[in-house]
Amino acid sequence: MNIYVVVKPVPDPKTKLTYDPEQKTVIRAGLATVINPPDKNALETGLRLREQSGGRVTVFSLAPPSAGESLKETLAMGADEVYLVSDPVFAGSDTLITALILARAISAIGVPDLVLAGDRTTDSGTSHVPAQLGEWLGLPHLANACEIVLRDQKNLAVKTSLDEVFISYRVTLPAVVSVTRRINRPRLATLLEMVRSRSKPVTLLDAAALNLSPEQTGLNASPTKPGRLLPARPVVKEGTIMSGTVGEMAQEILNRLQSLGYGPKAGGGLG
Amino acid sequence: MEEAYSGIMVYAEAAGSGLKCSARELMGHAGILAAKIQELENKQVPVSAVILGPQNLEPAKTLTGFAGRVYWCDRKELTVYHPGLYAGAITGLVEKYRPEIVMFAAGPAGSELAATCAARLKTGLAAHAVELEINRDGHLVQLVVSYGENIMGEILCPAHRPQMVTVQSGILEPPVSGTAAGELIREEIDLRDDGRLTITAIEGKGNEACRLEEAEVVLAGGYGLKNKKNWLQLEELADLLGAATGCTRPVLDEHWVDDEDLMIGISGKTIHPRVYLGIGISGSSHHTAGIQKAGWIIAVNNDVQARLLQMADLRIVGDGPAIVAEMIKIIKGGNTST
Repeated sequence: MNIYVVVKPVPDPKTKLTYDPEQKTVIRAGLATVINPPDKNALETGLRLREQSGGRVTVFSLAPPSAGESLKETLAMGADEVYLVSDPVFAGSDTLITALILARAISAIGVPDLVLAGDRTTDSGTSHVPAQLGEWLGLPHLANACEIVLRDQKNLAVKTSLDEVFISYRVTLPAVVSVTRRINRPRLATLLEMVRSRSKPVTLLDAAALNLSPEQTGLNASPTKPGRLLPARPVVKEGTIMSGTVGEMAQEILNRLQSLGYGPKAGGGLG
Repeated sequence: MEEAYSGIMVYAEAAGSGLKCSARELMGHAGILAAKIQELENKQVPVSAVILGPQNLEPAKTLTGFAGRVYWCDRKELTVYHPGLYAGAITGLVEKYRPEIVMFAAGPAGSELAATCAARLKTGLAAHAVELEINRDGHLVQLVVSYGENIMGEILCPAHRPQMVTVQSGILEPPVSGTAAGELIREEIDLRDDGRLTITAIEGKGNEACRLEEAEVVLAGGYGLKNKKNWLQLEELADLLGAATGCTRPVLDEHWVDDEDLMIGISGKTIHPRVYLGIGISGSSHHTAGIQKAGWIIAVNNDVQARLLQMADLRIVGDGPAIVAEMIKIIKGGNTST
């Protein structure tokens, strides 16, 4: 089974972000990144399907060249190769154009049996790209997958998690499926695998390789445009500040809960 | 190009025999925006709603209280959520009626549908808007929470129509009842099903799914809990208090818990408990957008500057995990010093 996994390097949550005042977007060049956590669940899904039915797992990522290093982790986890889709003209692309670029990259290498992705990113978090990628590729697509089972070489059983229900589908391959975190627990790469991954290929695909002209990508081609950046306006309350020993603070919270009518439930000590 | 598009269309989700809260909220938003455009451009701005599924006649009737026109597509293939067919129906209606704005609720299905429709219509879509405005050009300005810093970003879609948006639920108070006398229109939409996606089973999540949204007391934990052991202690405390547990995204990233239904905030749940108790949560906008409607806020954090503390009625400056452990000890020990 030939499987592609689309991953996004996202800002390391432990680093501080800077914004480009012109583009009004996060400056991604040189930013410390990690693989978007749900994308690791997608990769894990792909690796398990490969273990079951053979084939290859290839990672695609639209990111600045500096993200190449964090993509090595996908190779260490077990991906066979990585395509880094990168070009300065891609900067500022919105989700529709990001999906277009990824669709071009996937078509250029050859449409696989299955394209997997995480269902949302921890940075912009729109969750639009997998569905829009499916549309650009003309493939059926599903989001919010919490279970994926290969029924036969042509069909996949996919269980999706919505607000109040799980809905299961049978989807004919090739297809695009985005997964939630609850689908599995991604494996950790060992140090040895990290070292071995250095010899696996990371291939760059730029705009020229994808036959994309500068007018077709980036901020100018994107239907949505960022406007002003504004400070968030949090609700600030005149709260009571309290500090003291751990015992005093714990008791204060319990007292407050009780005064609001929410003591520990029956069987607890308070009542 | 813009002249050809007019009005606001809302995709309304039904729940049981009624409308989801998010659908009523969207109708409220749409009414306010329509009035603004109307005032600015001195033109009629009709508000319409789309509802899918043959079982949804009653919710469709309810919608006529909020919208000038309710387009109800009752094809039996639309009984259960099918992303391709639902997107086909909505896209078909957008092409037929050409609204200038199309709104969805930012849930798992709404986001998938909106993205699919935007790709088919080759137009722009903003996600999880927390505020919507009309600028002096008559364009929709969508305010979204930017990642990381406590910054809001405006998103515009100046040259493509319709302007599409998913709206974070629980931000605006939904109108209780509508006063419009809308028209209910049954729509015959040509649905092309290529058969590549078929529904095989539906299973309710049971009460667990709504536990967080319906809870009167929510105990939420963040990165400041430091490890999984402390998260499990928080769950134990929630159990003792009869509270629901919720979390911030880092808790999921660290795999202290894997259930995404527990995440509060943008792309997670919007909650409205009477009491919210947040432990080890700094209070990024991504999280706090989900607790705007909480009654009492109690926050525990080491850092006196933490934003969540600024929002709280009771601010405890101290070590979250230690306080959680102590609360468990007090409750179990029956130490009633009050």
